[in-house]
Amino acid sequence: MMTGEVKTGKMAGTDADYREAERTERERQGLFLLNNVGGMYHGLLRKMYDYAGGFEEAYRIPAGEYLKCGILRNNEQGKAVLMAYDRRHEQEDLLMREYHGLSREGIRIVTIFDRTYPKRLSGMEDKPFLLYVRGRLPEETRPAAAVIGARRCSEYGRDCARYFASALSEAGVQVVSGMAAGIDGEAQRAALEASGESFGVLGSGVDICYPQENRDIYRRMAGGAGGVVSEFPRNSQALPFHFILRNRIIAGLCDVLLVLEAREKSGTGITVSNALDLGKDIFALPGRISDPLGRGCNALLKDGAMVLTSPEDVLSVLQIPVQKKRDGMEKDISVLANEEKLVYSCLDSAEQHIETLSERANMEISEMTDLLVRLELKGFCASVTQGCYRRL
Amino acid sequence: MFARIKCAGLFGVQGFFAETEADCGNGIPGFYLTGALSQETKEGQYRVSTAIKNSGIRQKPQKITVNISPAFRRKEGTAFDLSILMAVLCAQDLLPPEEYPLIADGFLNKYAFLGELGLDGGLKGVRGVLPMADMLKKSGMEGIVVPMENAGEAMLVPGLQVIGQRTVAGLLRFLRTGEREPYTKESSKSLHGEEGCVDFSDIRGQRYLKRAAEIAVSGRHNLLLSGAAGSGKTMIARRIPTIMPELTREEQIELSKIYSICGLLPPGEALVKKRPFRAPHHVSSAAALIGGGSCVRPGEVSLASKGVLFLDELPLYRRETIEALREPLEERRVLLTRLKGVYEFPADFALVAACNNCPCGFYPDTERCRCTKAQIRMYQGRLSRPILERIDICAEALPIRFEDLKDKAASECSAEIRKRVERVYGIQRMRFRNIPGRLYNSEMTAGETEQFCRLSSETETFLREVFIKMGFSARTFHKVLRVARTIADMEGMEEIETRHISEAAALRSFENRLWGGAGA
Repeated sequence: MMTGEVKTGKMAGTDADYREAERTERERQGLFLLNNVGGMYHGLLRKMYDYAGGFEEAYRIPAGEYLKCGILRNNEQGKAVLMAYDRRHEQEDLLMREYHGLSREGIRIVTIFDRTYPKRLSGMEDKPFLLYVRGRLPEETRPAAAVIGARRCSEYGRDCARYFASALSEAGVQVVSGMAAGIDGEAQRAALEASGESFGVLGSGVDICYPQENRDIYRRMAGGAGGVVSEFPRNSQALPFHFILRNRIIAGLCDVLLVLEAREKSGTGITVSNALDLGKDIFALPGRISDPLGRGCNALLKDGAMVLTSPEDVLSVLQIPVQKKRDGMEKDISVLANEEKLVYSCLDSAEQHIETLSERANMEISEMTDLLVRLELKGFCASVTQGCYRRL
Repeated sequence: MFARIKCAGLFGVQGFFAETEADCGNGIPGFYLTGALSQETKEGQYRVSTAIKNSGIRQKPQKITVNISPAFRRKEGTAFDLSILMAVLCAQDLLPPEEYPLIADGFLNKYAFLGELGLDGGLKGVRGVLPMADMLKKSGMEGIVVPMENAGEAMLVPGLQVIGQRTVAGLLRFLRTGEREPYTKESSKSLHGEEGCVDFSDIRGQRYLKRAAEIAVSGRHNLLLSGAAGSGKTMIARRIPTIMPELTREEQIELSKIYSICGLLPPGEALVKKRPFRAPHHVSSAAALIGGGSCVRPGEVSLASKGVLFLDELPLYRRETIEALREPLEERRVLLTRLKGVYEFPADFALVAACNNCPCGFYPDTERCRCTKAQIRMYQGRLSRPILERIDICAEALPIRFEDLKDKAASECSAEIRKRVERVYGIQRMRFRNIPGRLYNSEMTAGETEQFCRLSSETETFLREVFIKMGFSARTFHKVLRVARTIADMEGMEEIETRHISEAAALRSFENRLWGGAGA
C-alpha cells in the first residue's frame, strides 16, 4: 500500500473491503503503466478499458489482440504506439519503481478509482483517468473560476487578467488556468499575489515548466501555493495537441469560465465548448469590434455568454456576497494637472508612440515627453517599448 | 657620382622625412635598391628605368645603388618612384647644371619629390600627399614636386610651394626653363553627390526621432534608433552630419589627411569639406572598423572622425567588432601597437546605431510580429552591453504613415537646426574652457556632472522620484543628468529644470530591459 488514497478509512474494514482495495490498487498500477506507454492518450485508454473491462486486464492483453479488434492499428499514425505497446514490459520494472517513488518528488497520482478524484471532473464524458498532481487540487467546497485567453494578448488584456484574477482571488475564488504565456499566466500570477494560490493545468508533464517565462508561478504553485495538474506522464514535452486535451480539464475544474481575449479561431474556443457541454457559466469580456483579439469574445457574447464588466458579475453568479466594493479599473484623475488630464485622455490601453500622442494633443514633442514622464511617475501610464506609452 | 633627393614616407597618419640616395659608378651594370622597402616600393626600379627611357633620356650602363634613408624604417607605397628617378638622373650626371639652371640654384635641396611613375614617363597620383607635405613644410622644405593629381592637396599646406607635373618630360622642361605647368583643377564629379544634397527637410513626420537626433548632436551624445524596418532610421542617421556645425579649416585638413592616406579623397577634390557619414556593413571585421592590416591603415572609426559612424542593424555585428569600439569611444583615438611602432589615428566620431526590435522587425506590433519571446530576447540580447552603456539616447521610430508621406508642408531644413546646434556648442565651449580637451556634455565625468548639473531642491526631489520609480542604475543616473544638461542648454537655460530631467529620462537607453523583455 504505497498510496494514501486507497488506504484511507479502509484499514479497519472486512476482508471483502481489503480485497476490494487490493483490486483497486492493481487497477491503478495498470492504468499508470498503460498511461506511460509512449503515444498512449485518453481515447486509446478509453477503448482499451472498454474492451478489457479493467486496466489491469487491459495491460495484460497482447498487442496482437488489440490489433485484431482494431483498437491498435499498424498504419502510419498507429505504428509508434503499437511498437511501444508491444515492448511495454521492457520498462515495467523501471516504471513500477517510479510509481512507488513519485511521492518523493512531491507528485501524487489521482485516478478515477480514488475518493480524492475531483468531483467537478467526475461528471465528464471524457474525464481523464488519472491526473498527476504537484501541490494540491482545487478544493471541492470553494468555488473555482477559470481565467483564460490569448497567449499573444494586448496590454489591456493583461491588465484585465490581473484585475479580475486578483479580485476573484481575494474574494476566495480559486483561480484555474493553463499557465500559458499571455492572459493565463498573468491571471495566475495576480491570483498568487492576491491570495497565495492558483491552479495550473499543464500541457506537459507536471515536472516540466512550459513556457519558461512562467517559471516563477510554476515554482510557487508546484511548491504548494495551489498546484499544477496534468494527465500526461512525467517528462512529457508540451506538444501542440496536448493543449487541446488539456483544455477540457480546465473547463472541468472550474465553476465559471472567464474569457478575456481570444481570436476568432483559438484554443480558447475549445475550452469554451467543453465548458458549455458541462453546463458551466461562461463570461466574456467585451472587445472592440476592430480588434482581432476581441472577436472571439464578442462571438461568445453573441451566442449568449455573460457580459464581463466587473468581478461582482462573477461573484454574484457564484453566490458569494460582495464584501467590499473594489475600485474599478478607471483612475481618479482629479489629482492631475490640466495638461496632464489632456495627455491622459489621449492615452489608450494599447501602446502609442509619443509622436501620435503629441499630434493628437497638438503639443511639442518635448512637452509631451515631459508630461508623459510625470504621468508615469504618478502611475497613470507606462512604457514597455521605448518612446511608446499606454494608459494604466 | 653620388646624389641625394628629398622625399617623404608615411607612418600611420604621420609623414616622415626621407632621402633617396643614389650612387653610380663602375661595375657590372645593374640596379640595387635598398632601405627596408615593401614589394611595391622595390618594383619602383623597373618603373624608373623604363620611364627614363621613354622620356627620351639614355641611361649610362653603370652599376646603380639606391638607398632610401632612414634605412631602418619600413617604407611602403609608390610615392618614392619620382625621388628614385631624380636621384638616378643626378647620379648619372644626366642633368648638368649648365643646362638646368634651377638645379644649379640648389632646387634639389629645397624641394622634395613625391609621385608614382608610369612606364610611359607619366606621373600618377599617390596616397597621403597631404600629411607628407605638411610634415615636409614643418621640417623646413621650401616646396614640393608632386603629380598634378595631388597638387591641390599639397597646396592646402600654407606657405609650401607646390609644383604639379603630369610627366617626367614636363618636369625636366620645368627644371630647364622654370616654366610651370599651369594648375588646372579637374572638374569635380563627386562620388559623394548624394550626400551633398541630403537635408533634414526631406524627412516627413518622425518628429520624435528628429528631436532625439538634435539633442544627441547638440551634446554629442551617442544615439540608438530602434523601430520597425523601413521607418526611416537610416534616413535620419544619414542626415545627422548635416546638422553638425561646419568643419573648421583645421578640422578639414586633419580629416583630409586620413582620407588622403586611404586614397578616399573625392576625385578632383583636395579637401573633405563635409562631415563624413560612414556606414560600415555589419560583416565588417574589427580591423576594418578600428584600423589595422599588415600595412596599417586607418579604419572606419577614423574615417568617420568629426562626423557620424552609423551602425545599422547593431545586433547583427559580430561581438568582437562591436567591443573593439569601446576604446575609441572613450579615448576619441585609436592606438594600434605593431612591431614597427605605435600607430595613432583619430577617432572623434559620433556613434549612431540602429536596430529592429525583433528579427522580423515588427515587434511590438503583436498582430504582425511572429517572433517568439525567446527569439526576441535572443535578438535583443545580442546588443552588446558595453556599447549600450555608452549610448546616452535611445529613440523608437514610429512606423511611417501614409499621411506623413503625403504631407507637403516643408519641415525644418538642416541649416536652421544647425544654427541652434552651433549655439549649444558655444555654450559648451564656454562651460569647459578650463578643462583641456573637453568639448561636449556627453564627455563629462561623474565629478564634472555634479559640478555642472546643479539642481534646485525641487528638481532634485523630482529626480529622486524618477530614479526610484524607473529603477535607474548609477550609470543611467549620470546619463540622464548629462542629457538633461544638453536639453537645458538647447533652451539656453543655466539651471536644469524638471522638464529637462523628464525628457532625458524618457530618452534614456534601457541597458538590461531594452524593450520590456519578459513583459512582466
